Amino acid sequence: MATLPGYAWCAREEDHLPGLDPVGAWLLGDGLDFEVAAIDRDRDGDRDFRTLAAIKDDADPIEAIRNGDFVRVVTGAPGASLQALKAKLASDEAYAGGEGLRFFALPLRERSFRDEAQLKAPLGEAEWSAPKGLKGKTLVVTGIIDHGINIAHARFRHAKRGSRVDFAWIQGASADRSDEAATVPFGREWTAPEIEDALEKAGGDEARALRLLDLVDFTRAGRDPLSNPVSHGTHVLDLAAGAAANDDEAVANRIIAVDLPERVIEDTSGGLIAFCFIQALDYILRRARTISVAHKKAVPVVLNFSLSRAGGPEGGLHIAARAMEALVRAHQAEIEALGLPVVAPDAEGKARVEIVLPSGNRRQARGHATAAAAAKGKTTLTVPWRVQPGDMTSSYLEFWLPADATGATLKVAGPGGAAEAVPLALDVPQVLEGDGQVIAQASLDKREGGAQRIFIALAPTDAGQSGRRPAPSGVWQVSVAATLPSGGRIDAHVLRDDTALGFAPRGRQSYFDDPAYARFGADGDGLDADPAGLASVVRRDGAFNGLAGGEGPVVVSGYRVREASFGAARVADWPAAYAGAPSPDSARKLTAAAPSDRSRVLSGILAAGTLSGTTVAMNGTSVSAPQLTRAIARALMAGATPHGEARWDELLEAHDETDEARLGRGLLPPLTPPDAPSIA
Amino acid sequence: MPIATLSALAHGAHGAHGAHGAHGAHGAHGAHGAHGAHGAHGAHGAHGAHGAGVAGGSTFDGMLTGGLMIARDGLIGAWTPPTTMTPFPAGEAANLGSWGRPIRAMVIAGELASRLGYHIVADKKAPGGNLIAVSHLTVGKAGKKGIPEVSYAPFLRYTRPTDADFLAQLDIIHNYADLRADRSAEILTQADQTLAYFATVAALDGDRTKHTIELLGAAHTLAATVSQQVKHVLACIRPDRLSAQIQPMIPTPRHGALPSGHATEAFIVARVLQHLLAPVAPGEAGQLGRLLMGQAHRIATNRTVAGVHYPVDSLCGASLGLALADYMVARATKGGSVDGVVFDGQGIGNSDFFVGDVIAGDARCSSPGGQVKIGGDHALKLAKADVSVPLAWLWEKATQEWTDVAGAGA
Repeated sequence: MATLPGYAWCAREEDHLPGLDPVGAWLLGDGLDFEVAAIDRDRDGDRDFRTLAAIKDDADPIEAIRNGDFVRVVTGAPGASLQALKAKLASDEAYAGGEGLRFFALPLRERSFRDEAQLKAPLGEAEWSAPKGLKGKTLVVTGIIDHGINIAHARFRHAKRGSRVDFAWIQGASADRSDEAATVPFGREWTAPEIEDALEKAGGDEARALRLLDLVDFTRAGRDPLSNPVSHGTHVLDLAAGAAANDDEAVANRIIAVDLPERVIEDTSGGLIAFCFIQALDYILRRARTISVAHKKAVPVVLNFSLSRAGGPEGGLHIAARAMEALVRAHQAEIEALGLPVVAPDAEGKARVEIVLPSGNRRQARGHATAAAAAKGKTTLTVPWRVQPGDMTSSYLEFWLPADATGATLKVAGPGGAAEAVPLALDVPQVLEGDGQVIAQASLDKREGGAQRIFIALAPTDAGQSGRRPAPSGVWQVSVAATLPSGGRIDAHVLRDDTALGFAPRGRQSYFDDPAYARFGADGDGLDADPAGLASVVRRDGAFNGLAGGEGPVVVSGYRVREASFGAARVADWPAAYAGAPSPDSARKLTAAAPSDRSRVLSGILAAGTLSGTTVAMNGTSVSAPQLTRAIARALMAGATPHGEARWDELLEAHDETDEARLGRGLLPPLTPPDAPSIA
Repeated sequence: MPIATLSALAHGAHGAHGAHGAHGAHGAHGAHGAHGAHGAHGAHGAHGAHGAGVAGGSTFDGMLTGGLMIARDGLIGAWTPPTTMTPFPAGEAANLGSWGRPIRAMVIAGELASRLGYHIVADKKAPGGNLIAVSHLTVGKAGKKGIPEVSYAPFLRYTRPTDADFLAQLDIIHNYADLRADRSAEILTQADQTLAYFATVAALDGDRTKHTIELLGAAHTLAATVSQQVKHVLACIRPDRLSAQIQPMIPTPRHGALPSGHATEAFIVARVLQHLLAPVAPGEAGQLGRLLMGQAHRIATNRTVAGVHYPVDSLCGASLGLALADYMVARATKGGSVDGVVFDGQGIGNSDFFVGDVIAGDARCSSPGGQVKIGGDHALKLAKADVSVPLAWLWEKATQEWTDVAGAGA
């Protein structure tokens, strides 16, 4: 009985780097050929995505990444494999082949950093001087971590007081090699005076300003999202903090932006996000302290992060979710040490940081399945994982089990194959190999806060120009069994594998193709909720942003403005069908819902296009979150200091028939001009 | 309406080709146009001035001809011949108003082309072994039998980039391919004619500003004529012949890459409009010119996005179009000095093309990389005698179309 005829599972003990995130392990290891075939390189062989940062196994990874406390940074030659990188490490006696180290893949192009020393250097100091026009106003920092942010856009600029973007870190930009004292460990930082300078030099030609800021350059490989009419980050930041050029109040709403590297976004699985996100969050809080010190008050920070991860773990255990908690605490301690008076303190009197996250867009994606603990014996979750033909990117499936689950087993049957047990050993991946060709990898790890993850990476079903054998498309039956603690669950999540906005269409999304799953109701309309008594293991509930499980953040779902504006309309029509919500038994609840679509047929919310003066529609909970970010910033500027879970209820419209599980504590009203274009 | 009107005009221009079937060159263009690819064909788009089927008699049908014969027989009565006549004065520019627009276009095209000479210059240092010099023919006083003494003055000198330059430029074309989906509407509608894209900026209208459009048609023809000479001599291979991965989204035209015809034509149109409309442009100073040049840059860049041109083709074409525009305006008004261009594409490497490389505000400039050098020993001093009387007539007619707007004559 074999998973696939002609293939066998075997352990990858030799060529394995301990501690590598499973996506990174696959992408740098057996999945590398597929990636290399797809990566655009500069003529001089820019070594994209060939760098690993190593930290000590017993070090706190969040602290280590935040402080650039890397034992070693290894960069391979173009196309270098995990084996080559490991050989390079092994030749270095001090590092004993990587034993006792954990690794993070750096999704950076080589041009984005000068050398190892720069990557390890602490964030440089910055200067901030208050613009005129702040008298009598309460300063707030709006932070944004996104991709494709036009930092020179007119909506982020006051006509007389200049750019409100005080600091921007473009992580994927070319490092300024002429500048020995780079202020950031990779990419490039811009400050408000530099943005103003570029705009002045460009003499009204915004496209030229973007070139001067190194945001658009077609002479080098890679994507320039700001060359497209729609850019995610510009739209999101406009909703979060955009303002008319004559809005004097907005001068007190300062912006600190981080633009994530293209590889982090292009890999829609979210598997590469941790390293850059931790650095980004730390950067925003550090620069907010720079402003606070100059302003002589601890300025509140409202941070919008409109990205989500399709998978788990629940409970805020993902490293990015843990980083939010840890870095906010570190920020508060630093503020305390500075002895600054705190504006709008939190319940404990500490500096306020509000992190706003989307609930995710995969409610209808058939990417989540669940099995509750059996009354006795082992609990089994079997999913029919359909992988589409013509998928040029790897597909990922992960199972999450409680930390105290025991005896986890995995069985896999490929299309035309039979269920075969795959031996699991902690941190030692298994690969599915035939004739020397690897097409899948399975692993068990506990790196995300102790929760157990069984992870399966499957090669593309279209291997393109890689010369590698593709994985067969069709249904893969994957079964996980374990003895669960009472009340525990096994959750399976298909990671996102489609194409991000503005990228070349390569990925095709895999999903659970369960005949027992009901997509449509008796009236032929699409079902928004899981029907009661459903036989299927596939569930809409629980298809939730895997980064949003922590207690701290504000989490925002999306609703349709028109449907919610008519009292008579079915409440079931209010939420956007795709907007994610946590599992019913999850401790995490949604905070609120904000507009994500104008109506069931008019998709998206209008806000800034890439270049000043343009308006475009974009949808998803990505656009919901920043509207609440904006409302919170405005409330803080108006002197609000609310505490507790209900602290932002005042911003929301309560409603009689609240579907709290999907809409949270209430609906945020739509923005109106001049805060946003009219949606009428 | 302007776009629809201009689109109709463009089709009218195609109709006009039929009427000129006897004109060999036009016939050839027609064949080219059948491929939907650009080229000199684009020049005829600007001939939109020829009018949407009003060319009067561009179509004759048998029924109508029969009807007209029978009607005459029933109408004229006995033959009573006239005894006096008022002839047209010979050699008068005003007569142009009596000729059909396609005829004026030929007269003016002949006026402009007859004063330019093309010379292939052998140069061992030039990639390909030859470069091209374009000179202005200075015409002296008429001698015996009306034949004047003539001499050439250096105006344009174009040398192609090296093989390594083209290979480096190929990377940029690949990178720009990311924008193909975004730009496809522009690319497809600009393949044949680009006038609609300037009409929206400068408020052109096929009826109200018909002479302006006719003037732009003349500019377009001049740009196409000269750029094809330069293309032919420099013979630069197209991107799709260098890499099977370029795969242009539209057919690659059947002529050399450098200079880009679209860039030459777009920049001559933008520059002539800038000259014509600067005195009456509303709004912020320099805005109209900036947007015209921006549009020309976008049209040129779209050809790179499509995969049919290197960025250096655009740089080269822009330098050529701007120089020809200044030349044409000088010959339409009162002569004066015109900066020529020495273009040497060598060393362009992987530099992209930006509009600021060739023009700053309303002043042309040499490019920062040194490939475009303006003026110097290639500056023309045009005399009154260099002014083309038919062209000046058209310029004046075009100017009068803009006297109705606020600020005119201010």
